[in-house]
Amino acid sequence: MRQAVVIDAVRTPVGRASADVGYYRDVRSEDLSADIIKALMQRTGIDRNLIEDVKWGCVQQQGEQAFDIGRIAALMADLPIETGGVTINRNCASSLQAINDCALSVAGECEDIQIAGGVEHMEHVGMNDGYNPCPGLFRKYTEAIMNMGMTAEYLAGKYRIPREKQDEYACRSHELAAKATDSGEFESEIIPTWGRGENGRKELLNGDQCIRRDTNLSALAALRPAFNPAGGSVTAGNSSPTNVGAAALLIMSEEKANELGLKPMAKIRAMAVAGVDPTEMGIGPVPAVHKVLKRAGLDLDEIEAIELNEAFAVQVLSCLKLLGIDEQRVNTRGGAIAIGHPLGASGARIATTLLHRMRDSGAKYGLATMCVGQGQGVATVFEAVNN
Amino acid sequence: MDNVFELTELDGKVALLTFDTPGKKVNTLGRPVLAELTAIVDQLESREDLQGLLLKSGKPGQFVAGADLNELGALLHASQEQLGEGMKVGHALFSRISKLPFPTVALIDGNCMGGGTELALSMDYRIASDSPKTKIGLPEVNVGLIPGWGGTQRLPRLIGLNPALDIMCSGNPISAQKAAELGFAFDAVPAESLIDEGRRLIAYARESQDWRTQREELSKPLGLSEDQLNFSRATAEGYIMGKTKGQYPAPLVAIKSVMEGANLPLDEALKVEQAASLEVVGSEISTNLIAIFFMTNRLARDPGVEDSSVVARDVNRVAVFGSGLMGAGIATSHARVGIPSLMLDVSDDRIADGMRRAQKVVSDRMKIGRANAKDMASMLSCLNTSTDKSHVGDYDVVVEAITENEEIKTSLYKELGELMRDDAILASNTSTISITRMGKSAPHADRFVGMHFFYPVDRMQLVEVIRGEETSDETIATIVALSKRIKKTPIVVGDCAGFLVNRVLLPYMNEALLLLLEGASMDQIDKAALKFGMPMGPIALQDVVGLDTSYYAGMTMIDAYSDRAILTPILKELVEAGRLGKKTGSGFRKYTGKKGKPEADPEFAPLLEKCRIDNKEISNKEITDRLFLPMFLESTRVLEENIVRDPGDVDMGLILGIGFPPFRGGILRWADSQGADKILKDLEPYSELGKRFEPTDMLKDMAAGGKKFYS
Repeated sequence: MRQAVVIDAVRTPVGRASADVGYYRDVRSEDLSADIIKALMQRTGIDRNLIEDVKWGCVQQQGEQAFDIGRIAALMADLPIETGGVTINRNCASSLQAINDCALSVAGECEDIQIAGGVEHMEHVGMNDGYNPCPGLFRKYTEAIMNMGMTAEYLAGKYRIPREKQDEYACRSHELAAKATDSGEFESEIIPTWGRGENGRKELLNGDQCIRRDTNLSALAALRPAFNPAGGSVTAGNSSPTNVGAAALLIMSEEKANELGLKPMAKIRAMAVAGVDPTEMGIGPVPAVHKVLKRAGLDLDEIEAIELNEAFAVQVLSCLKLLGIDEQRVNTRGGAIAIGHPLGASGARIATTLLHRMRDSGAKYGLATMCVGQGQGVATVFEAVNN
Repeated sequence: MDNVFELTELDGKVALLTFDTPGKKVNTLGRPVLAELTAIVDQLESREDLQGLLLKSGKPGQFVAGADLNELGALLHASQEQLGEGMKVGHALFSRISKLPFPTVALIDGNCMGGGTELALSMDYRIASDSPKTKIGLPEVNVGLIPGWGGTQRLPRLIGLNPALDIMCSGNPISAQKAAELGFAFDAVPAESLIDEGRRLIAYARESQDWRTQREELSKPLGLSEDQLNFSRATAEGYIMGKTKGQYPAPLVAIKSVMEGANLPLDEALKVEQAASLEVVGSEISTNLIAIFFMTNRLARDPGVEDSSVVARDVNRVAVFGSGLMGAGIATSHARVGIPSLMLDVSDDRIADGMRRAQKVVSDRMKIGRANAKDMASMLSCLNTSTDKSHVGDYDVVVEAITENEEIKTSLYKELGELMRDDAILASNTSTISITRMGKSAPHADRFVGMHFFYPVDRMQLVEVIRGEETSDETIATIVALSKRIKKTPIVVGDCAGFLVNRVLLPYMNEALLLLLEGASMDQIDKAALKFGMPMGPIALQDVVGLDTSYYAGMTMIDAYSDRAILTPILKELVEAGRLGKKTGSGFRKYTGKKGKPEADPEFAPLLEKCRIDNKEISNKEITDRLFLPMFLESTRVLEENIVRDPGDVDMGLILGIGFPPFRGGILRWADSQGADKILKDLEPYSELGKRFEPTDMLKDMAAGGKKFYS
């Protein structure tokens, strides 16, 4: 069985999904996708003719993200017509799934050199646009299972995570993301990308738009619950915002990397997916992590770097509580609450941040995991090469 | 009583049961009907020879309208035993129907409501006619009840938790197509195919034995996990609390019944429903809501005049003077139902603004999926405009909606004498000026009438039809009929300052200002009104109405009711400061934030200080009393003076005109629930405040005689 490795991982700055001030309010998702793919190829120096497939995560596949945006991005990135392109949807974990699928393809002796990644433009294509729920899905549920905020509220009650803890965690996310940005820790992963600044001028952007340097506990405490005004605890402040962004990784077999003289960042050591009840979709990482560690033959203690996607503070805290993970190991450069959560790109974004963290800190094992709407968790274990 | 059911046999041993109440437009499930159906079920239970049973209505487009609301409305003082007994009869009957020894199919054409839907649910299958008249629903919550004959248990088992909660908590009916999509109906077919399709379904059910497996499946628990149960209950209750603030218990009781029955076998679950039902049947809120249902029906049938020989005239075309907020709204209401309408104003610019308002009415509805481009086109094709007054000569009714100034209005009327057709009716949309007095300037005082719309015209249901001293019955009947044609609810009101709604509202609005000047905070006052059930507090309402409007209306009332209306200087101060309310960005509160939401305004404080009477602490009880008791007393004066013909007119006027809480049934029904003698006592502490708190003769008589407004 061939072993998949990641050669490099890059991402765009993450913009706010806003028609007024969003970085990418006049940049399309196809362009964002093609540009990040081109940047990845340029930085790794890979011969574009060797790339066999693009596996691209994207959730809302309509409008400018319609048809197979994976193929469209490949064509626009000047990849040869022989290179394939596929779009993958596992909601928020779409591009983590794309990474896992690339690894499977390598292991299965199918396509070898591939680009995994994803994109989401949550302003141009809204999260709920055109959704028409099927009544048959709701035999044992209320439609609120489709409202991620309501599932987050449910976790707050079930796992007893008070508002203050959620706000503290959100505050931490912003502080860490600001610190990482200011100290240049994101420089190796962010590709400066053209967009429009909040002042309306074209800019080569190099930082994430939603990090709030001025946030504090009392400002967060003043926000009203967004999903359950009467007695809820989940607010816009302790949830991830809606965003625009793209991320891409170059993946191939270990042999191929050696043959081409490319130095991998990490091996993709193990992968897992698990379902949970849609009412508590945020808890998805818990069984997925148990599964992936078993497959990797590792203990949680051996994992030095963890990226757990921050859909909601309450959801991260519930997972940490159930998994018994100390906050110190998790999202040390901030998470989606501050950086943002462009759905189809987020899996590749957290994997990218994780791989750069591992390289910078010399960690041997890293874990990327995320919850998925309608109740799933996906997890991937990376093992550093030559660390 | 004549039989309402007819049992016949079709070829192939299929029984056809036809439900057709003689002499009635609709079928309802009253006690005698249930008794007759029980006797039929007695027979059917032993008919093992039958292949199946079809149930249909003998009334095309009317399946079953539901339980008999007359019976339910009379349950206010029934004992728990009596209530429980009534419920058990229905449950027992429907359970027996669900166990008949052959497959059963309800053939639903037209309205299928409440008990009718529950009857259909007790059968194995349902087929609906695809006619737009077919509406299937469980509207019990609209009258403060829950489905109490198995609906809260059978529906979720059949179509699932969320769709069932949706149907029973909203009370909104679904179409035949939706019923088929949800699995409530096997299919939606043309009405004439119902029997054929029913027979085909019976044949399939027998061959496949599907009817037996289905019966078994549907009698099991729905089987929710702990997470499914807890999450669903919390989110469903949260949603309802957000909408009703808990003032309407029925949807919450329905949720409770569904959730507590979901994991039980059907037989036990049905007992949960019976217990839950007892919490709402015969309750005061339910009785009030049922009363509103009947008052609404009465107004829908009321021709507006006592003399039954009076015939409303045909109205083919309507002209409206004025293209402002009211004028454009009135013209649009007519055009939307296909009445050719003319919007007149003095300049092209004003007409252009009016047309924008007209289009916005329909485009706003298009945004929420309630209208389409065709509706826009048909409205616009019925709406003409002109700046030339002479065009009114072609119109049957001319509605005047120009500025609220008697002199300007009457000088227009004088001009119209020459221009209007000799037999046309002139109606004024004035909200305060006397119809009798202005009638003297109208071309014909007998064909002059008040037609008072509320803002926003497209959303407010109420039209006060004001009868001046000279107004003829025919004019009243014509305007009442026209109001109904444009889908409004007209209430005929005698001529007096403020007519009905504003007259009764003003004491409440005024008292709120006095309370503010005496030391209560705005938030405290508004909260007391919200807690009582008003959709908006009186201070917030002042800002929405506009303080200039409120000030001038108040002056009119002070002139007319000088013995009890008190001048509150604060309005004048605000108007002079240019703080006219929401429309200018500030009034009592400010509206300058991002979303224009009301916020406390520090700049208001000095104005308040200037007008302050006192700075004492005022209890919430006193605030509530002082807001609603003067409103109530004014209502009794309206009745004493025969301004309206029925207590129901006051209650419906307030419910439709100012959003008086329906669960209280209106101010008079609320007073009935308190009792006249208690209200007398409640008034005592405020006797020093003057005439506005002085009991009226009507109240004293009622207290002495133990009488009520509604017997």
